[in-house]
Amino acid sequence: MADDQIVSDLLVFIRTQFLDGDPAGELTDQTPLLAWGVLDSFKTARLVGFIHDELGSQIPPDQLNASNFQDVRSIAELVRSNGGQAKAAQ
Amino acid sequence: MTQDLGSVADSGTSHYVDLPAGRFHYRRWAPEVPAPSAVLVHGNGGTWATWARVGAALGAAGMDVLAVDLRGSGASVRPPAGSYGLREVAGDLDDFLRALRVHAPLLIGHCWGGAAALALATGAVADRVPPVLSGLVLEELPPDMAATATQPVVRDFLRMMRSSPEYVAKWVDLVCRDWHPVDRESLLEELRGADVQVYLSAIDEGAAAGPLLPLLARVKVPALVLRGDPRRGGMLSDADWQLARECLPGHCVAGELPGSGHELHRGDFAGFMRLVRELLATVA
Repeated sequence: MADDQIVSDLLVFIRTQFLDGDPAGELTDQTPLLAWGVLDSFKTARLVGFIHDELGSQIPPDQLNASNFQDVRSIAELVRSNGGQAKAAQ
Repeated sequence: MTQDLGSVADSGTSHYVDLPAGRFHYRRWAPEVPAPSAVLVHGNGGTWATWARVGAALGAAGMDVLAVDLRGSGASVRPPAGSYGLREVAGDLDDFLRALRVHAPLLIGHCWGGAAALALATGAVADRVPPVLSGLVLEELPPDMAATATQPVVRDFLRMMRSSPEYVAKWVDLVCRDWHPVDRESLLEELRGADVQVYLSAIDEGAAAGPLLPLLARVKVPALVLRGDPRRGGMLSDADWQLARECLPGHCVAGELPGSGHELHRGDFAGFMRLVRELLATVA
């Protein structure tokens, strides 16, 4: 359940901040964010800031890499495994 | 005009010059014969290294290129807080040009460096007679220095300045993964060497100059004003950009590089150089 809430928070953030609300409903937790160019340089920085500031996850340097930012599911696991919590749980 | 640099250290040679404010470091790409000059001015938190590829490219094109470390930056003098207004920084630039007898350079400034270059070129802030310039490139000129404080790229920069070297290195590799390796290296150098107090002073004290975009109306030389995409970290909103274009005299041009954010010269080096070359053609 906690993971689902983190996934939800990430989806909402990406939809509202990067995809103009995603009106076509294309974003899922398995959308390849890097491969499809959803996360460019600026947006990656925004997302890392959101994870740190809003979800409270302290990502260690060795986990700050592209493979952990492939899709929302992998990012949620990164958040959860590093002490992050869904916004509603804080 | 492209260079295959292996690292930042391969680009240009280091020199120092004593100015009224203290000793300043600069990097130079000097041709063997007299040539038109270009002076490159970095942004807040930066150093000459941000221009490693641009300097090398302009040097390879036959220009005499100098990239200065502004006060409080890189290997230049670091005065205490209270001396980082645009008046002081533009004054340093004027002293730099005079001390090295740089005649009629193309002045290229990024963000804070662009604000200082504009202040110098118009004489609006520096209370000095503007030096002779051949042209001006203002990349991501902020609407005013105060406005930079709330920009996401500034918050990121502050966060990275306060993070561990290991974290910063991984962050740069991830966030700037599409950049040329030399540009990633230069950003990493800047983040590791930047002084938080100087960074904040440049914002707070630079704000005293007030709105910068109206100063564009006073530019007398050919100028290229560039903004990044505000959806990707560019500092000028659409309203700011409209004002900038309204203020620009007819002999100046406004340019954008789709897809690039605040760091156009590193994020889209080829596009940046193309626009600079176009300006140089009109200057020549």
